[in-house]
Amino acid sequence: MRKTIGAFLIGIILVEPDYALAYIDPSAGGLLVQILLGGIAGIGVLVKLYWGKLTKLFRKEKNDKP
Amino acid sequence: MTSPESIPDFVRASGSYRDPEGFVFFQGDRVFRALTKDGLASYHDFRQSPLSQWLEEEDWITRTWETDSASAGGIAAKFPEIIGVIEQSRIPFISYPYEWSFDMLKDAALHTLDLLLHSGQYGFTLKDATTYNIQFFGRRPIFIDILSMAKYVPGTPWAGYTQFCQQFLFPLALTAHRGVPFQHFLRSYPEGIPLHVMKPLLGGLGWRKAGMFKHVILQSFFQTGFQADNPALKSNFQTLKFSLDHVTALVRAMKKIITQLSSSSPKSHWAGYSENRSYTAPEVEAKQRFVEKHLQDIQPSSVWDLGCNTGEFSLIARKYADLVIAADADPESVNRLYRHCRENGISEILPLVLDVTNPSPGLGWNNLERQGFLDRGKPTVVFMLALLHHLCFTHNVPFEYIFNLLQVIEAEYVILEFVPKSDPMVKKLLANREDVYPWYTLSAFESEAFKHFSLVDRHELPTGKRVLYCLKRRGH
Repeated sequence: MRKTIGAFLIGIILVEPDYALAYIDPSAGGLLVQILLGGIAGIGVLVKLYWGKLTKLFRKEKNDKP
Repeated sequence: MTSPESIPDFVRASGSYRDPEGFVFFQGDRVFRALTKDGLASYHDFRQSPLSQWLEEEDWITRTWETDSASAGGIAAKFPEIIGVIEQSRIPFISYPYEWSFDMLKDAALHTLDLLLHSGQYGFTLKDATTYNIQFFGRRPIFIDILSMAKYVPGTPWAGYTQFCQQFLFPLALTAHRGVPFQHFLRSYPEGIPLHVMKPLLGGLGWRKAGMFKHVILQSFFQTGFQADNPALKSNFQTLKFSLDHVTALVRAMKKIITQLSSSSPKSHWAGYSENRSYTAPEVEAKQRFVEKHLQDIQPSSVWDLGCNTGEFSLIARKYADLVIAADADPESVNRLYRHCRENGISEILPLVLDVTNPSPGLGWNNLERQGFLDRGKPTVVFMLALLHHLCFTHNVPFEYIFNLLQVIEAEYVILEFVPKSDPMVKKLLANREDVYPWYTLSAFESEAFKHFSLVDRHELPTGKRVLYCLKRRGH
């Protein structure tokens, strides 16, 4: 369990974006921390959220091409 | 139709507008909460639980009781959404987290967490986790926002988690891990230190300290990572079957982190002041006798000890007054006094971190949400012991300004010490600078003082250098 969380955290830290002022509800970060601490199922939710971001990124790049 | 103007003395608390279930108002010296339908239902839920009785008996929360409909009538007529009014016991002096010392904020944090843990056993939780829900009454913190107590709804997170981090954990960690006093940060950020400010303040290796990776780095990462998408996250807590057990586990983990934090600010110059000062034992005794004699005569209800250092004279004053505000700009001295009071069960002293040359201003919406220090009460007696020379030589404050401040404070009596230029402490203050204070003389001081105050007593300390005054405000 610890190893899974560790590997996941290292993964997401590597792709951390630069800071930009957050306009959304300031507790969004707090909700995600709590989801992560919800255990394996919580990690599943986060992976899903990040997967969505990743695929969106590729979709965007495709659309950008002339 | 009744308007607030026709309700005697109705004053709505200017900082009480966030909670949709009600608001605080004052009538004279009494404190009330006006409740909406939801607020009243939530209050009844809480009162019907054995939890409320236990918390009141143990002085964990302020006492509340429903008032009769007659006194509620005027309010309900003006505010149609209000259907009930409760009264709550009054805190003698309101203080704010930017005036607390390290251990005061730490005790307030632990009190909030203990309240969450205990309430959880009865199926209740706190809707938020703000420092402003805590006050110091007696020697320990007390929770004052009864409307924050609510039944926990399964499938929801710890609602006050981020607020707790920003208002309690981050300031405490800043002082504990970086040696930076948190008070000025909390004055600038009344909602607590934001994540994007805390992260760089933590420093390169700060993430290795207990809880910092999770609560600062990770939270900040999630916060910034999802700002563009802003996904709806609430439903995930239902999917995950989030329960009170999850919340309790988070709160317990937080409590462990907070418990381990200790103040590591650099050794304070002032905290050792009473041991290093220039006068002799007989002088100290004479000073104590002078103060004690006049307190006996005056029988004050409250005393403000400005520049209290570690509170030597506050500890005398508390024998004669129900409330002693012991204020000093040095957080470490104030912390020492707080710990002394806590360990010895002293309940009359409220130690506060406060710079006389820059007292807490009005803050928040309209600058009225949090009152300025000078607007929060009128003392019977003000002490300015071994303070005058610091104000004059370090901060260039003229005598006229000092008596102007005392006029603003509306102190009936002032017990003040004049320290002449020949005093070794003053010589130290002037050692490396030009003496641009030709006006600093005993006669100039007295002539300014007697414009506004009449002399009750004057006493030269045995060495004949320092002079003690007990002054009474003219017209009183």
